[in-house]
Amino acid sequence: MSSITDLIRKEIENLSTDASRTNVGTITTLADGVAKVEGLSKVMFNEMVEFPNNVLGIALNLEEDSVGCVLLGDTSSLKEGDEVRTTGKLLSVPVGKALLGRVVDAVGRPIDGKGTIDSDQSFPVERIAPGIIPRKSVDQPLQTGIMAVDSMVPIGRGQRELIIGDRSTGKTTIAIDTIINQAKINKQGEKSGDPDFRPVYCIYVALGQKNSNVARTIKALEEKGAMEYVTIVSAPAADNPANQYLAPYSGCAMGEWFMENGMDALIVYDDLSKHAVAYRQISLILKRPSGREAYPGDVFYLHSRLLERSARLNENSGNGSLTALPIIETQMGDVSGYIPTNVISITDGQIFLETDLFNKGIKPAVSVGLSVSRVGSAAQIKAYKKVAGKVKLELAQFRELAAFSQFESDLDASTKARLDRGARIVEMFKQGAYNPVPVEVQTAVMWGMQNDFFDSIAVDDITRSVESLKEYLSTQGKEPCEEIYNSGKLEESTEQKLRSALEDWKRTFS
Amino acid sequence: MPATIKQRRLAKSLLQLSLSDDGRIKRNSVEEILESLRVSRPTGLVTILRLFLHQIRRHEYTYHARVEYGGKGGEKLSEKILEKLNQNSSKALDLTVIDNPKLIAGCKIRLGDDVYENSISDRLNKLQKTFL
Repeated sequence: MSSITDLIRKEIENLSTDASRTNVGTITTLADGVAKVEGLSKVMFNEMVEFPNNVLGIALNLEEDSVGCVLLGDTSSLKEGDEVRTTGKLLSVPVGKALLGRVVDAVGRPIDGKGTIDSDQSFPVERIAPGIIPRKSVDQPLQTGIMAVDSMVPIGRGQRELIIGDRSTGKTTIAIDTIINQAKINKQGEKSGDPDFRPVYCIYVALGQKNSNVARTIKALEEKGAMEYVTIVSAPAADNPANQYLAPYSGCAMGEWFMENGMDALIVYDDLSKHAVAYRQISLILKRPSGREAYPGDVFYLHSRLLERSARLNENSGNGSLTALPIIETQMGDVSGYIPTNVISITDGQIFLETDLFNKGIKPAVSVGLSVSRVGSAAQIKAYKKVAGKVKLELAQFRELAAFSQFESDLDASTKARLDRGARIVEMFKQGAYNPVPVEVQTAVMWGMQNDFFDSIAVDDITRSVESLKEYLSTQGKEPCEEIYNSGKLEESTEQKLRSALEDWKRTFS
Repeated sequence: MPATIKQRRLAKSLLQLSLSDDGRIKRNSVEEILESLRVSRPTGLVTILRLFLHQIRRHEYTYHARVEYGGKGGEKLSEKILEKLNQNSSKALDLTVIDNPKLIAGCKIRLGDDVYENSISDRLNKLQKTFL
């Protein structure tokens, strides 16, 4: 009891007894989560304003006679004529490691029922992206654990790689797989006790999604033991558009804390199409002039200022990084839409997922032709670079030849060999959801493919054989894999060990 | 019907014409403006008059301070407050004193959009927020 009274006494002592000065205004109109306020003559752009009953808002439109504010929270208690006060603060969210393993809303309040977040630091939601001087080129890999991605569209720490595709093509799965893989690597690295190991912390921003989908994602992450490295920022479809508009910036601020403190972080924006829609809704209510597809003129800036905040910082600036995986949903595979082209031009590459491939059972349905990573092999370990160098070209040639060979019954030997190899690579890349593969195992499997170990196996059996090999390499034949993991290189001696391990596996595989 | 930009601008211009050199609203000028509007009858006269009234009211707030007191002795302090406010303002200010028991003790001054407050209720509100 005495501790409670002490706590209250301390709060009273800390309270300032000086007179407060605020700038006030009154609500003139209130509709769809947006309030027009008269007064507030000294309000700043993007300043947090306080409405009655502890409802917060942000001043987004500073007009000649009024201020347009988006409201965060329950607006049902507000009415015309209510007083609005400035706070002198920009909207900030709590940041730090205390947020790991938690689910928060767009303003960083916990919504997982696990109590308050013990964080003593906060970052403003809107911040200027790092400039040119503190940046460094991307050269460290960020393993997704997905063979098709790590081999053909490698992602580096600090890169912005767009995941784009129609609905139900596995976009979220790729992002979740990547998060699960980071957790696996983090655990492995922490167990090894390596002082140079750099864990990757993850932030997943769920935007405009069904609550059931978010719950499913949380469950998947918890089941795979990844939640302890993840913060989920949720602004579901039921939330007002202001929260959906803010959530990516809040998540980004949380990620920036890791980056600015010399750590590595990954942020997934799932998805930015819904973000653009929420912003369009706010802009239309604020009566901002609309342009193409009724989006406001600054919809490009909406995403560019968000994604530019992801960066790789140099040693002088702490050597941290923030990798971004924005997701965009296309309509009928059309990548030339307004928002998709905007985000494609901002990011450093894209993973395009094709509905046709997905329906054929090729999962992940990565389109070889349309997917690209502008960082390229700089974001691959040497061993992986050695085995995956030609695979994208081989697969692209296969897709082209496969299309032509439909009209040709008599094929020459080299064409047939290419088709056979391509069909096997396609099968090799098939991978189940939430089952990322470590990079050393991926290297060994790819090495096996490059060295014709799968040529004698029927195409239909490739997926099964790859699974069997993965299992073998993580149990009996783990020595070469450990060498690849420790050195990051594929030495001649390792290759010999790999050859004998694969020969041994092939004898047992039936 | 919502006011047009033209009507808003006209209302603002009318306000400027109503002001005296010390920045306060001049009754004679307002009467002259109303007379000229009555004669010329521009389109949307009612809207223009409403906007003009609104502008006048908002402008009045900038030199008319409203002081709310909680407790006793407010009247004695009002002269001192007016003196202090006049020191920081380019216009000559008026003062209205109102009793507000909701403040419990202390005072709250509103001048234009600015609110200066040093009251018990404000401190209790701040304390409440720290526990939320």
